[in-house]
Amino acid sequence: MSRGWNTDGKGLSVTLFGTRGSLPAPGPDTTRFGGNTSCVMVKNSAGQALILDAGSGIRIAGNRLPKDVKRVDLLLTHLHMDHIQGLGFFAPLYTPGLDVHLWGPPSTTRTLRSRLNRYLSPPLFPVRIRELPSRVHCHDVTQGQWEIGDFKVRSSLVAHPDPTLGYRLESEGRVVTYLPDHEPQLGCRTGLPTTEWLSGHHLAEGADLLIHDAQYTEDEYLARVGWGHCTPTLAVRFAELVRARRLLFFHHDPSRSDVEVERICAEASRTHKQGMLVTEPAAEMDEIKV
Amino acid sequence: MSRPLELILARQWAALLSTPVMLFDMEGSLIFFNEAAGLLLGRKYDETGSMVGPEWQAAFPMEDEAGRVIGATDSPVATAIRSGSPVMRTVTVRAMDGVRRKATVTVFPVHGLERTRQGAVCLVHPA
Repeated sequence: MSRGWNTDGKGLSVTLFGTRGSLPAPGPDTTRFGGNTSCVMVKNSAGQALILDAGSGIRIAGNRLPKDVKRVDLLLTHLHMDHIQGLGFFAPLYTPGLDVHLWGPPSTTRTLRSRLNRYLSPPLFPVRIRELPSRVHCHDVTQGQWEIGDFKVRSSLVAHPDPTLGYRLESEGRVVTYLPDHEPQLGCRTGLPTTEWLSGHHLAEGADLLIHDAQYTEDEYLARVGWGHCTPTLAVRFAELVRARRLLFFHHDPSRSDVEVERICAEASRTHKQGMLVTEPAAEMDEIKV
Repeated sequence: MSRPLELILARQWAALLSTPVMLFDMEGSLIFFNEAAGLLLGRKYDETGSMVGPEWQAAFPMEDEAGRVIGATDSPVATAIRSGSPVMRTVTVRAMDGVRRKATVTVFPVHGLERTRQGAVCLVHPA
């Protein structure tokens, strides 16, 4: 489904190829919001595309790129399995000579390439990065700002176990912020902290579209503090604090049916009392105009 | 602008401890102290907020074991931030409630993911 706000022909198109967290969850109960794990494509009006994360949804995303594409940029938030498990099935990696740029966090002792090699090598995968026919360029990034074509990209570490980045993408005067795995309330005894101490705040401030973790119900979160995820209600609070215009509840728990996703996100949306924030659950294959 | 995640998590950790903890940024500003540190310093963080170096050095000067005021550049915090190495020292604090309190401070610099220095954490042990 394609829908959105921009009527001037400018702006960004955001396609959700995977919205599920932790584990792919295909089946009759997840046809509306989808079963593929995290993958989002952000495209500007000139057709330049950035891909966020390599969950199982990236298989379809890779097939949607133009056949004559000269360069592909894939921004990884972190290397938990649900964010890289589709990488070996990303078609551009098998296009001879194509420049594929992978951006993501190193650890304190290993580069991004070295960390990715642990997955893209036997016994977990038959093909090593160095054996791929494309030209793979790995970029270690943590906090910083750089440009990819017409996109201004900003990244920063955010609250989630292991080095994890959030991304802020700006192009054509629009801002999309991607925080798929985020626990901004970690260690806070009463709600969220002030913005100065709020993980991810400067990435999300004033975003036209905020894609944010909403994996757990309130009860689930109490049993999983420190696992790195958020509730839909806290995602609403976060979106209010950063004054986002639109919030997509993302990273749905794999155990959650469509009916349950709809219900808990609707309940959270009703807690919004300030401003004009638009909220909705992220649904696989939706294309949103920003 | 939010602070680096390393300091955000350090604050959340400190806020849950009964050990007195103070956090400093790379400029030497005191950006947070927990309730236990507030008891030693004589004021709560909610009352003082963040304090730049000259402010906190005036608010609660530290003295060495001979009773001399420790200068700004010689303080354990400044030394740890400048050197990038931990510093441990026994000092007397002229607290903000007028009481002098002796304490051993351990200051260790916070080195971020790519060895970027983000500030310093100061643990305070009442002596």
